[in-house]
Amino acid sequence: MISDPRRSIFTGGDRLFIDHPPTVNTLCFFYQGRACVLSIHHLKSLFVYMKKLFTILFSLMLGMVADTLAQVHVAPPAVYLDESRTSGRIEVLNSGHRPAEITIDLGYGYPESDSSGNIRMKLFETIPEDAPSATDWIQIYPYQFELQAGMRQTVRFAVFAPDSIAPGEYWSRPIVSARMIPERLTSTDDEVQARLNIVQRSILALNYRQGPVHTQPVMDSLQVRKKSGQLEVQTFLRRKGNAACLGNLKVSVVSLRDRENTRIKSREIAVYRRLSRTIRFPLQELTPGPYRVEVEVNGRREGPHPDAIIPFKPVRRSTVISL
Amino acid sequence: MIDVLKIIEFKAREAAPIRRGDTPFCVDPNQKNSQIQKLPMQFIKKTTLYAALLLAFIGFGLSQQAHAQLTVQATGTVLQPLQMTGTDLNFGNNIFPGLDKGVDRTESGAAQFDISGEAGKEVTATLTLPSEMSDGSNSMSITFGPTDGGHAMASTDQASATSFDPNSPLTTTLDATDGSLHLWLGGTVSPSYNQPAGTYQGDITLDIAYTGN
Repeated sequence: MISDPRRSIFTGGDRLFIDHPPTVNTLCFFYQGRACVLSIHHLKSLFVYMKKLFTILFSLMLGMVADTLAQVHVAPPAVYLDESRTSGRIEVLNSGHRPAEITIDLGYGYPESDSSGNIRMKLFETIPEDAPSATDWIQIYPYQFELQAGMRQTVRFAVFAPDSIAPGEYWSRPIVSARMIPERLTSTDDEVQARLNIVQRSILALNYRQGPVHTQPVMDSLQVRKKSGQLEVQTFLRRKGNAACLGNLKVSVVSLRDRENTRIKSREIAVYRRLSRTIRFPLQELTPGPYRVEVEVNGRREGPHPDAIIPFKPVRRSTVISL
Repeated sequence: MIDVLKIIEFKAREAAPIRRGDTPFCVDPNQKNSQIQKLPMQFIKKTTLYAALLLAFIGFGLSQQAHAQLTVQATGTVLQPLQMTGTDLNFGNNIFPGLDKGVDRTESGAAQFDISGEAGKEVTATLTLPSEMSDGSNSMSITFGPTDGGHAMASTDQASATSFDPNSPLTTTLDATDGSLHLWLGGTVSPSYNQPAGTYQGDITLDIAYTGN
């Protein structure tokens, strides 16, 4: 038994005896073969230290991800309505950790291409008078709301089309804008601070079909060229009928020497008026020799629901090139 | 670390109590002449650091799990969700009047857009960029160069992202596996030499649309 007159600690074997009044609480444990004692005072300061450390560490981790937790989901990306189904809906979900201001506007537009076959979404500031626009007939509820973190909101669209409209498809582009409520910036009187806030806009498609609808793509021309180390296959399409053509553009580059040396790429396309699409293949993947370039536009694609795709007769064109 | 925590018997005797301010101490019960040794504070602090890290990771993991659960719920009830996450373009507060301040698209202050949708589908992304920022009374010029935009499939590829001109629409395909796409945006503010102090803000609008609809 070992005793220490200063601390009045007695040890014997694996037992540690401490002389102290019963009101003093202690934590006793073994560390590296030594019996250790911590009083309540040490425990309190230890707790404060641990609390501070935890707060700092957790805040750092939360701070690292806080800005990335602003996340808005919108589904589905396209809604198709007709005389028998004049109302539809989308869901807006805020899965982030900050509330968001949501606004739904109605625009008019469709995919458009430039001379090089690159696609962009064209939205008209002023809708042409003869445009098949459904924007004036659609009511949205709700069209503006604040969505708290973790909450979802159903937004309904109702179409009130005039009876006098001609059979065909009429287009609209619901634009769902999400703006995270920004944190306040603090600055002193002599500082210049700058920050740009993000407004995210998901551009959906809402097509309303009245009466019989039909569509047919026409391939006006096909161009194949080598440019910047790539084989570019550009297709020029236009649409006949009274509805947009939703289809699939498939381009095959087939070697006439080795049929197994084939490169195929597909893209979903939407031909509302005219559309030019360019599909590119790296030349380094194509050995020199003769090739047949085959282009097909068909209606084989997975739509949001079966009624979305209006059937049409596939169109094909091919040409032979030498690399 | 503590290998084992043993319950120690103690009993009160009429002896000198442990007082506030006393240094924690250890004795070796197996050594007859064991000296009183100060409990190594490094051990105490290391222990609390480990405990705090463990709690912090648990808390962080729980928050991420909740986020993931919401994501799963969304994809379970809707078709082809189109989702976006964004972080602001932040120039900070060390802007000096008369000196241009730029944020490169590879820096941490760059705006980041995380887009997710149907795997392999083509989307068009169009940025509407401001030409000036305002504090409500005063304005400050801002510009975006032809290489201030970057895009990649993985969020970890900010430094090696493919450059694009943010002043023109970007058409690209979502990742063929998880349907993701990440954009980064830098820019340059040009304060005048007598730019009033204040907090200048503006909006960047990102339009996302599937090209096949």
